[in-house]
Amino acid sequence: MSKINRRDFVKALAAVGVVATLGKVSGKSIKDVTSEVSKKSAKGLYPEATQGARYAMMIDSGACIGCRTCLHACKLENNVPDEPSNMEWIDLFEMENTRPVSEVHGMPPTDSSVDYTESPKEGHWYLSFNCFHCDNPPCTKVCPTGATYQDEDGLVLVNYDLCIGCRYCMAACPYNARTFNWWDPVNPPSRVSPIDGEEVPLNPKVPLRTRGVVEKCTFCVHRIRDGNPTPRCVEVCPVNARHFGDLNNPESEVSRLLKTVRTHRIKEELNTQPMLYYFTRGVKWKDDGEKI
Amino acid sequence: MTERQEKIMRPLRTTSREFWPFVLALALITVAFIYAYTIQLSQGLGVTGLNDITIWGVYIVNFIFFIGLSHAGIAISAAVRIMSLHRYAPIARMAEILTLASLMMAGLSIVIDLGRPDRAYLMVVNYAARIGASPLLWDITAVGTYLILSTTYLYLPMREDLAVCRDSFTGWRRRMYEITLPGYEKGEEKVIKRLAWWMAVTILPVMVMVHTTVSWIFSLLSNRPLWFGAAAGPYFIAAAVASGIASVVVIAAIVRKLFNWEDLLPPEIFRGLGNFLAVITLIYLYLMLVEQFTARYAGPAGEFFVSEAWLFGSYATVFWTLTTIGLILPCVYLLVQAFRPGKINITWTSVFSTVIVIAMWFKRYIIIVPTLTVGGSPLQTYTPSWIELTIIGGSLAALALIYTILLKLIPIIEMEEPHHG
Repeated sequence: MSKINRRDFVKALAAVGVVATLGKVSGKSIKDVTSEVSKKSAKGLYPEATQGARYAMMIDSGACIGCRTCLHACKLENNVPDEPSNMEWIDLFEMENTRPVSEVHGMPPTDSSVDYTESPKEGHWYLSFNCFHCDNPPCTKVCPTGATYQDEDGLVLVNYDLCIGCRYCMAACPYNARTFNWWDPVNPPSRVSPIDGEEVPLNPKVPLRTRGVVEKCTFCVHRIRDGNPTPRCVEVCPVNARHFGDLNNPESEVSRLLKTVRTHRIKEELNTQPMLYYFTRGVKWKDDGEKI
Repeated sequence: MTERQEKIMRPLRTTSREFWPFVLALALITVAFIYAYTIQLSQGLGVTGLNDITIWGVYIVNFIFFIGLSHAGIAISAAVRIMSLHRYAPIARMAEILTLASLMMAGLSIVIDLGRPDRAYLMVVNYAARIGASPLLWDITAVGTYLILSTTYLYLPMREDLAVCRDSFTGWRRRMYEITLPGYEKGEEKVIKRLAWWMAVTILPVMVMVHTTVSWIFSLLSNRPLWFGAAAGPYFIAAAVASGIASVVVIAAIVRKLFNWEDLLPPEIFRGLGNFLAVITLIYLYLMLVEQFTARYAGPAGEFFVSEAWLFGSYATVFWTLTTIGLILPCVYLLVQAFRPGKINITWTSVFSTVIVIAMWFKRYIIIVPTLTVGGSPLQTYTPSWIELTIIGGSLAALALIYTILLKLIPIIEMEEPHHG
């Protein structure tokens, strides 16, 4: 190859590179390119996305009595293992009445208890968290394989077959919503429910996870996209503190609640647009255990 | 063969009695590392001290540390070539080999940290779809480019010297060098020199981007106080330059002593490197000050409480030890030495360089861990398990082992007489 030819070749190569890069960057925003592969490859793992829906959950933190029914029901519904390490998709915090929300998810470091044994307790209130299914999720952006992605109905899901276990999504999540399979999860064919003592078999609709992958709340994707309108935690709540629905449907429970109650979302300054709204109808547990 | 060539070839020809026990010791630690990793592979990352709050630990610390070390080679040798700093030519190759070895260990550190290393190939399969979004992929791209460029950059100018090796050995060693020299022609050095100059020009910006993308893995996460910020790139580059240059000082001092290369590696080299190290450490200390001041003046919750943990909390002992003994003391020594005319003390320069390298490992620990643990809910602490510690120690030993073996195979100093100018 003569000298001139080589130079032309390099120039051409550079030109192609520049054009390709500009095309990629200008055509799509960083948010757009995140989901496409993952949606395709996750087919079969979850039912098809509900077209036109935007799912959201609302939690009445004033009503919550901290009974953990949602937490245990969630674990049984979604085959979340107890052994060898206890994994949870819902976190429940017992807060002193004088303490604000920011003490759980934020600074300063908190000693808010997750290990309480009795509830509701005098002078305390309860705050529960699961995945916020953010509209602008920071976790899906950083994933190097597209294992975690946002679907058309807003659900942020994990394709367990693509996850390489780098835990970058956990680093990016402001809410510690994700949990990692540090060991081989043990999935017995059935477990005794701590709520009512009944034997509950493994749920065949929810894929089992392996060691080394990240998992989290799915808003019970296998139910809500398959005819059942509510996630398990919403269904079982004895005080009706959890509400769920489609924000795009003006008749849904969340749409109506959003119009009538005052809500807040956690760490809104990060622009994650969480789909988990908190509200309270002005009720806190008083010292005598009565609602004010 | 000239007297200079003879001298440089000596470590390749003769091996002292102490060499084998040393290599054996390194190999044993490396075997322990493989053993520990086997346990982790068969049982899962649960064998580490990590948890759902402290999701990253010493493996990621090691990754940043090795990327930092890798800085040295190319920075020095590209600068030597572009700016014609011929005085430093004798350390160029030993620095380049450090780059190569530590880049490999950095890649390994990332794989060790994966929950499913068997699926690492998925990053390649889904590369086109994810490269637009994931900083981890940007970093793998940058490191990969850097690895390929620096291997080529090390190899091309070395062919001349490998040819000398080939001609001076017989038997299997001759054949070994033969394999490394496909298409070698006498007199190709002229073309290669020109090529290497252009490669040096290319590599320098790539080097800057490698350290910047490493910082981006962390600094683009808006939810992580003291990771998030625009200055992370320069901050990481300063740390990389400091630890990289410091480790080259140590290596140069060791081979100088070991192979009696007092004339090949004159004290002026150490003076120059020491001065540079003093300045870069000073810049790093300045960046630390700026960072802490910003975190503490108004004291927004995230930054303030992580800073509290660094300065007065459970990480204070590590933080203040590494800052005072690890950075300020060496910096003061090197600065005093820089301003005093006359001889320099190579022993102390290399001792303080070692201290800086160690301090930089712990500084990376302070960067990674407190941001994750402080403010996590529920609160969880992190103590590295013995598996993690064995893997960390073992990966350092593996680096030393790779380096020692290359020392016996490659002329570690360029045989060409440096031009004095």
